[in-house]
Amino acid sequence: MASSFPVMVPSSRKFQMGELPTKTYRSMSGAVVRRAFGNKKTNYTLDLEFKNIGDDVAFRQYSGTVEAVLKHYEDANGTFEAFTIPNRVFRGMGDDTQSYIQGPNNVSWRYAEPPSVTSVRPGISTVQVKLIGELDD
Amino acid sequence: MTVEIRICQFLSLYTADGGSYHYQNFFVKESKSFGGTSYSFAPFQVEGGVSSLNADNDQLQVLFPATEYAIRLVEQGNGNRKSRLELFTRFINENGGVLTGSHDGYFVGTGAAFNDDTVELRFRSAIDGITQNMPARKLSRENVGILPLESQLNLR
Repeated sequence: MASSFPVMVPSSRKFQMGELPTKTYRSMSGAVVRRAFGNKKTNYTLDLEFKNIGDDVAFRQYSGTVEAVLKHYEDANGTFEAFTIPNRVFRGMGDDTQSYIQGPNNVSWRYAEPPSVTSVRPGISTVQVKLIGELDD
Repeated sequence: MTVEIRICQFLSLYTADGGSYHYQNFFVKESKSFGGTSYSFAPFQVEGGVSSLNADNDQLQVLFPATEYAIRLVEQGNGNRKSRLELFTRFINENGGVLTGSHDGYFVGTGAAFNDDTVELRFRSAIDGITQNMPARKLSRENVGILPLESQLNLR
């Protein structure tokens, strides 16, 4: 397992709950049969956006840097290794709600795709990070 | 109208060296007791003929991700040529209880294949049924030669 995600507070978060792995059979009569292939939800997603943060220097406490995100992506071997997400990333969110993101049983977080960095002005960029929570064997 | 079903496959593999391995593919990271045996979780998938009335010696493939324990299964079964498989398919209720019924399958190992991400164990259904072209005789080395694992028999 890779080191924890950098302690940074995002500008925006978008979280989507996971689903049971299922297959749906729809008959011509309209009757529907759903088959579950497992008893735990998977494919949680968490999208984070860090707007206008410093490339190398943090402007505020916990604002983080682009370099920190890219270094973590390197440490996690890209989308390969799992890692944990620090509570600071969920700052402002209710504890009970946060437990649905931090606490799903057997779910490990990974990068769903490489981080996207958009340069805003010299030394300042916006970073978008897409994470996926999947069941580990 | 919507019907929700949950199906679990319980797999018992007996290898040539006398070892036995018990896995199920529904309860993730859990062990489930079934028939007095504890089945641990393994993400396997079963393809091919699971059950047939025709005794046509269907082939069955059990696919595992190429993990350490899957490769060990192949090695201890001598390339999966000397192993025996029991496959139990059961419905699961909404509370995770195993329901009675559904079907059981018994197979013998015929080989294995590896690729980058998958270990495939190949089996054929045991010769427990005889097609109508076969005489009602006991199979022995005297009338069919060395007993094969497939249904290709030559009467002598």
